[in-house]
Amino acid sequence: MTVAQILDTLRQSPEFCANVTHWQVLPARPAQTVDFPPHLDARLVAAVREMGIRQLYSHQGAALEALAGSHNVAVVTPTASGKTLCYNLPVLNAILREPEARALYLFPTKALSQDQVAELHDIVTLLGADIRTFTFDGDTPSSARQAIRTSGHIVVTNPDMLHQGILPHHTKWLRLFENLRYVVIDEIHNYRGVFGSHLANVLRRLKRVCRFYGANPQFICCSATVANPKELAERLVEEQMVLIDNNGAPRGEKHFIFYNPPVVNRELGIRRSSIREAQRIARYFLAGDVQTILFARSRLRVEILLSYLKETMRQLHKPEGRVRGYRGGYLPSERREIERGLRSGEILGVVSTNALELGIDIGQLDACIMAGYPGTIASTWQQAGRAGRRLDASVAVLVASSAPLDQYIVNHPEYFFGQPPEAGIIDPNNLLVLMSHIKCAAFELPFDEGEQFGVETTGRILDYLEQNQVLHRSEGKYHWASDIYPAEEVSLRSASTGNFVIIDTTVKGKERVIGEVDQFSAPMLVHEGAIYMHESKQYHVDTLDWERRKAYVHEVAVDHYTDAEEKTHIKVLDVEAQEAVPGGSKALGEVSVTTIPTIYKKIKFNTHENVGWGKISLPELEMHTTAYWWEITPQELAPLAFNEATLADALKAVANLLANVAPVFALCDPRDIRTVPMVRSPFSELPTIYIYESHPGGVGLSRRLFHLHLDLLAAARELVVRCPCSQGCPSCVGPPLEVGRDGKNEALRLLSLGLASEAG
Amino acid sequence: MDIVDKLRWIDSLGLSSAPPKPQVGGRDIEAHFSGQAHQTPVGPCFRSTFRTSLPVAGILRNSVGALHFVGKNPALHALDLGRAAFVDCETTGLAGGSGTYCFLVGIGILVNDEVVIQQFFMRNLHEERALLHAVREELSRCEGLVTYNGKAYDYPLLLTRFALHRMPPPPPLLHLDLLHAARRVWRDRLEAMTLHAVEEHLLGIRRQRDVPGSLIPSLYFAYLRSRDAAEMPLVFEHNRQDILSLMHLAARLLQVHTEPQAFANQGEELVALGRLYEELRLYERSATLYELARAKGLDVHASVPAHVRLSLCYKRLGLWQKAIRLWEKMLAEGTAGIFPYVELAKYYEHRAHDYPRAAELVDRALHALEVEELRGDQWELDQLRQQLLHRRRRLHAKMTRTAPSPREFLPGGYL
Repeated sequence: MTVAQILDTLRQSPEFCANVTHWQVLPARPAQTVDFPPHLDARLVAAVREMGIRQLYSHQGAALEALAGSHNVAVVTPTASGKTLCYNLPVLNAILREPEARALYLFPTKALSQDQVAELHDIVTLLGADIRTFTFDGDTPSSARQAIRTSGHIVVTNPDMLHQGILPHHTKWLRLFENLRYVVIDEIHNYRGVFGSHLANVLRRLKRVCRFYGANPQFICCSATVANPKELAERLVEEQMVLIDNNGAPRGEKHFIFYNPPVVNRELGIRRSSIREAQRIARYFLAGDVQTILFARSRLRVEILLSYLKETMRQLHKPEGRVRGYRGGYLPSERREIERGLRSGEILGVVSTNALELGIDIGQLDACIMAGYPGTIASTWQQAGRAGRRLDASVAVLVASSAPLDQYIVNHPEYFFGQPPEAGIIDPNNLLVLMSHIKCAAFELPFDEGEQFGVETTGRILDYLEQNQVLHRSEGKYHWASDIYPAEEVSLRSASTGNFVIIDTTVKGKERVIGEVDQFSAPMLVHEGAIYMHESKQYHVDTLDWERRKAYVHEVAVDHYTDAEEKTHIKVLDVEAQEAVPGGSKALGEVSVTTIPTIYKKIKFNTHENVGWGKISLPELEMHTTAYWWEITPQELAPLAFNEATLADALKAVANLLANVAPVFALCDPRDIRTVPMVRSPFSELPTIYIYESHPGGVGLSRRLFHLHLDLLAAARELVVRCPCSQGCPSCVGPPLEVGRDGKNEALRLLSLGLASEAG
Repeated sequence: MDIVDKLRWIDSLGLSSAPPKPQVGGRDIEAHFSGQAHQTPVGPCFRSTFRTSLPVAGILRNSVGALHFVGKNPALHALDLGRAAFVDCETTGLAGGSGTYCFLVGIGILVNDEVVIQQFFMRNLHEERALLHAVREELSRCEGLVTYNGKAYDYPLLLTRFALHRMPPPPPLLHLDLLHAARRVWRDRLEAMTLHAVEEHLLGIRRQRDVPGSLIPSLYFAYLRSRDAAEMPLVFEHNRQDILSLMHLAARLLQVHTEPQAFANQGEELVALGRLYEELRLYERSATLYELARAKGLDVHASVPAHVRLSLCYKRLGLWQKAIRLWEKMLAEGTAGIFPYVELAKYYEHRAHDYPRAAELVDRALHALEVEELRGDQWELDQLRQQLLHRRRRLHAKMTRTAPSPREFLPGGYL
């Protein structure tokens, strides 16, 4: 059966259609091609032709043209549009012309690097030229490193390795840096938030080292599925970019279906499991022999969904082995085998975590089913992009879970399809991040007096570091003057360095690290007595070694979870902007957040009964970050006739809602943002809701949310209105235990106040 | 909030801790240590020259052709230690990378029976160019380089500094790293292979008032900030002692190799030397060393492998009678597992063509294997058993083909 035939069946199924909240059809589009530009080496053109490519797609042509004109480019086209040729062609062309030329490729993961090198090897073999391509990462044997440093034409690595392994040893890479023509940064939509802020600084260091060796490379940034990557690329690289978005790859008709499983418990707002629903929908496609990929949000969910699908295959009298799982933890050889099986069609269905979201080459499939919203719009497009034939129709189904974010998205297709999502926010000048990299940069090359590293205040930071005996000034230069290796102390994937590791001691003698939490979350998540959830398994925290930053846990199966309470004090340090809004005013500024964990409650699953509690004795933590807040003036509040208790409930409910919708607008992880409601803020003495960033210093999320204040409130109201529960549930305002009996209604009243001008 | 306040706040997180402020004042290096400004075309640095008589100078000057022990690189055999530079660097950290400086480079060379140590020191970080220039000048006059772990550490770091200043590096020199040479001889004897352990346990050198290497970076940084060089002489002396130790170690290695009877303290050292010569295929020498080791006495762990090695040297040299005597001794003592059975079986099969005797030894070996099996590595024993069974099948085939006993073919009525 074809996808089109199955879609007809689905359209006629009242049971299916009752749960469809949106059905979008993206029309088919023919290919737009251009000829190979004359400046491409004839050998290269011949090799590419041999691969079956007769002409270039328009975006590939445009990228080559812009690069030939000495510009930097940001290429944004969907998955499988031939993005890699946009950089492989100019890079190989440069090396063919000038064998000394070098290129550096950055991919966010090792698996992608290896994939890329395999692809490059194929072209190079066809070219028959002596062009050496290597991956350089933690797995590279030290015996091979010397050869890679001196003779690798194309070095494929990841940001972490560039940061810790290459830049601090740049003299060993002299040949690379002296001759560096191109820097390719693929999958830039991954570099959001803290990771992106770090990468921007690693690139500042890279450019600084290149200048030292007299090189001035061009940058080629690529991104899939985000609509506005120019700004992100320009902020990451701090160079002017030419945007290449005239995608010329052909596309068959594409259907995008939003599916909301039916409610099974109205009071608690619980819906049918997204995993079971994904299985039901997959059955239609697997029965019709349509190649299908399913995405689940955790490794455990992948395994559950896989076992369901094997059951489905048995019912369909098809071999179970034609559905496979694919996730982190599988052996590389196993992964390669699955990738091949998918390309050949031997494998009919695959269930994956976001491991397959990135550009691993598995060819194009017909159908994609996402069990749960992937978390960001970019990821959703990326996963949906796995289904999409060049000629035939394809389909992507998003199956929502009961989580508030899922509910918001599935009920707001206009938001999802309407405005292009931001490419992500970074703040390379986050002081904590910036200072770490100024140290690394000083280690690499001494700073000249007056030299700038990202910010105008570089000189003051250098002076500060000198006073703190990290740098030493001598004859107009600031030298690194410490026996530590600064890059080792900075992890690119988090802002603070003091992460806590979680050690599973279930099997004695086989202790293993199962995860990490940052120091600001540790008191809440891994205090002694906590039930820590990891990949849907429960672990009891036995001891928390605060000094050594280790939490020791063992696996348990209990019917409750724990919820820690903390007292949070917010001190406003600096107000950067303040504007009047309905109900009062909104403000943006720097705050100091002090948290002290107090007690934890044991809460029973399903019934949410409180079945016990314990004390937490841990030190107070102070964090300095940026926040945006909404202050409500008493005059405006008066007509609503809240009493102290109902006002507290309303503020709490709205704070919960904002915490749920803010990640949609800021394109960030829900953990990146926290909200605190206060009936009487010590700063203004007014009822206030603070939304602050959980990474020290902030990465710019609050600024964006500040500007989107009204959109945020409107989205929060939408979430409450659309929620089928009667008085408030965890899918909208939060559990009644927390926000009172009528939290839903109180929240709506407060939100109407905040949206007054819109309504009026 | 002011940026400096924010920076202070970040530091208050405990991610970095500021050491106490140094007292500025005190006197610079010239006041504390003999030496003077050394002028170069790229500015001055500080130089201190030290001479002392060196009793082992004569040994070092006779190194040409005696450096077998350095390994398989034949170019090094021609190195004349009398014309080489013994080099040691004091650095600002152990991690390496472009932010680690060599602030003091000591170069020792032999002049007649004396050693002259030139130490180049940067009184401030901007004197690095001058220091590098001076070091290159000095090294250009030498014919080789002797270091301790310099191949992995000091020399690449020095080359990094040249690259950072975009200065041409010193001319390529033969480089003898004594760490590797010493490790071959003494790895079984010493727990750590640090230069200090070597000094203490092999050379009998006791340092008087030495500064631990791990403190050196912070002493130098403290000096940079305070300009008070009171502690620097300790570092200079540490560096000098390192260079002198390098020379003594080189001399000791030469002696041990040229006159093992006199200079190897223990049988184990002789065994280590023997192994080294085996690698160089100098089996006669190895055999002599193993014999000497036997004479000196070996402890239980070392004895069996030494005998095994000695017997194999005899075998390679065609000294069959000596080899057989050893194997039979091992057989009688039951110390070397099935090794003597196998070797004797090979001998009787391939050399003496005494198949029944060989077959009997194989059977005894298989029996011994069963005993071994109770303790050893299963996989390895399985391999051995396969080999033995194979040998046994072959021997039986040979015996049926050549029905009469091989002894009857021997001339002169062997019986």
